[in-house]
Amino acid sequence: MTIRTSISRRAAVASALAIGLSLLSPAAMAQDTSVTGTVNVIGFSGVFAENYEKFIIEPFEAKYPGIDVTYRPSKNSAETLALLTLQRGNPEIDVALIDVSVAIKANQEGLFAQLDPAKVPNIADAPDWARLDGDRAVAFSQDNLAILYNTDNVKEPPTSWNDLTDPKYKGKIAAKLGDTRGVILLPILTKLKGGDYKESIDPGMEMLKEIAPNVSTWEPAPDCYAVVQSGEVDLSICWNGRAQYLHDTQGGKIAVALPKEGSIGQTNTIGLVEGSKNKEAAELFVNYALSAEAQATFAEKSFYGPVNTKVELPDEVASRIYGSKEAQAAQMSLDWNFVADQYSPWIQRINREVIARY
Amino acid sequence: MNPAARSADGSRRVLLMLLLPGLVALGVTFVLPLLWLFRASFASSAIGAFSGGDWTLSSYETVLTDPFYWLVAWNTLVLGFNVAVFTVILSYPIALFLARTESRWRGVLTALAVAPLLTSSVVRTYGWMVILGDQGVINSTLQALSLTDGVVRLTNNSFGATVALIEIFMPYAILAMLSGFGRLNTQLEEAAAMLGANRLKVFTRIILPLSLPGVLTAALLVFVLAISAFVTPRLMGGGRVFVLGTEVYNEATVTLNWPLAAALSVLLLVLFSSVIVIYQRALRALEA
Repeated sequence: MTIRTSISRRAAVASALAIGLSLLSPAAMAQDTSVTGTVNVIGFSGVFAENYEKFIIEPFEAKYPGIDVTYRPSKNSAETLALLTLQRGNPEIDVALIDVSVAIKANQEGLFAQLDPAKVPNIADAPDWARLDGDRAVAFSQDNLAILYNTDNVKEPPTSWNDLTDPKYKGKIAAKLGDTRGVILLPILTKLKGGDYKESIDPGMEMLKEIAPNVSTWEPAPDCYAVVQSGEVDLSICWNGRAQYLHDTQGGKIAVALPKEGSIGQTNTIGLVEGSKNKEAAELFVNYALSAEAQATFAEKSFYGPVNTKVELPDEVASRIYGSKEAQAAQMSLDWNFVADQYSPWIQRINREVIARY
Repeated sequence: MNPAARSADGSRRVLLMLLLPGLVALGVTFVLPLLWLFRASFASSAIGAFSGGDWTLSSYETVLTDPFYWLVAWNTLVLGFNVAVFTVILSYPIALFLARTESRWRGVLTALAVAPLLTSSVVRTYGWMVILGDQGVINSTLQALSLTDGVVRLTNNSFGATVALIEIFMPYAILAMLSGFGRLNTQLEEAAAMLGANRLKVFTRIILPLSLPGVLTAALLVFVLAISAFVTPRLMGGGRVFVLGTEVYNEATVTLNWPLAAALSVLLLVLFSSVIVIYQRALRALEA
């Protein structure tokens, strides 16, 4: 009996929601069968892939029943770039989801096509910083760098990036910083010390050296989340979205502290591959991926910050993506074209001046 | 052409036909990628590494003029040397016992000694992380016995990487030694003992010289495996162990400087081959 009532209640809620949605946006329920074909998408793997298929690709296919979307997870953006390079001239991939710094590299080689605002009208809702290299790749989501902590060992969660230098965490921090995480942390720490990353990252490097004695491993294995969940370390400097997901699904051993000074997001971009054989369908997909509707759903489900300026996030979602109101106001973004040139030199400095010495 | 020559010609053709599949497979999976790697190391951009284009020496210039890469190469050699020496020292008694034992369990014991090879080295590396970790078996025992105050850092450094590599390579060393111990002969030992040599003397004058070829082969094998190791130094080193393998990985997948990664790989190959050449010269001189 109870089972039946709960099902019928759920069904009632669902149908009420569906009616509500259809009233709000009649277009969302409309189907368009004029375009048919396949869109081959390559993108990030793991939980991202699961969420992206469920919350972006499935609704898109429902909206355009004639279009079939395939999703191919790639280990990392480097692999995606290698694949796009190899297939240049005869691409089997139509759309790529790729790290912003790698997208800029791909654009230097002309791997992405310029998006046509007539075919992809939603780019108008993207802020200027998100439209890279003359719309040859557009940012669609951001995952904030955050401090993750073990809820058993840490009773007073950190509130500030400065807490990372607290000697009570000696040997208790995992920080993989020889990649995008370091490239994002440096500007954050530089700003914290009153500097500007475009002038010099020395203040950030100095602070990193203060954090370094607390770091137990620069190469957490298997990853920066598992070492916190197992209690091997107290804190970890890593991505917010995945940690929020693990917090909700795996018993809450891991939790996220979004520092009050604000953070910077790892930026994911979407690009239409130059020479795509399914251009028309691919353009529709890119347009959908950039829509406020798609980004709001993805933000709510995966805690990746939206980029589309028309997205209004409910408070409880915003606080899990950006942190407190104070942190939300302090959220920063980077000039990625500037950072792309500094990417290797900064990582080299982190490796040589910090990791190799501590 | 006389019949004998014709048949020699024919058997050579048969031999060639038999070798062909192997040669083709080697060519496609080994020689071709190696040539491509070589080409990529002279490319000017990441994309050039794939699509041809110009030739430049700039990656080699970077590798050869940057003291950091010299340090990395030095670290790699030191790690290889330490691992080779300790692996051989630890494996030698086991191999010697297995070679000399007359127990009917000999086959089983040999199988046991090389059984770790059935498990992936990644899994064994994780095993060592459990043992050496800050809350691992050793640290919690030390703390339970109040022998130490805080945590003794046993992993996430080059010590941990060295220990794990030694254990991982021991089965290889044991196998290499067993195959190199063919000249060991108990009758020689008995003869020496009969002539008044004590056990130490038998060991230093008979057993050690006769087992030396096996020992040196094992040392070379482990050295080469250790300097090209990547997974274990990366996982056990906590990011602090910079060796050529980890640097190639970083340049290829993080900073996407494929030509530099290729140049580092070529450097690693050069290191390999010079070590092998020098070693074989030395070995031949020793045997002569």
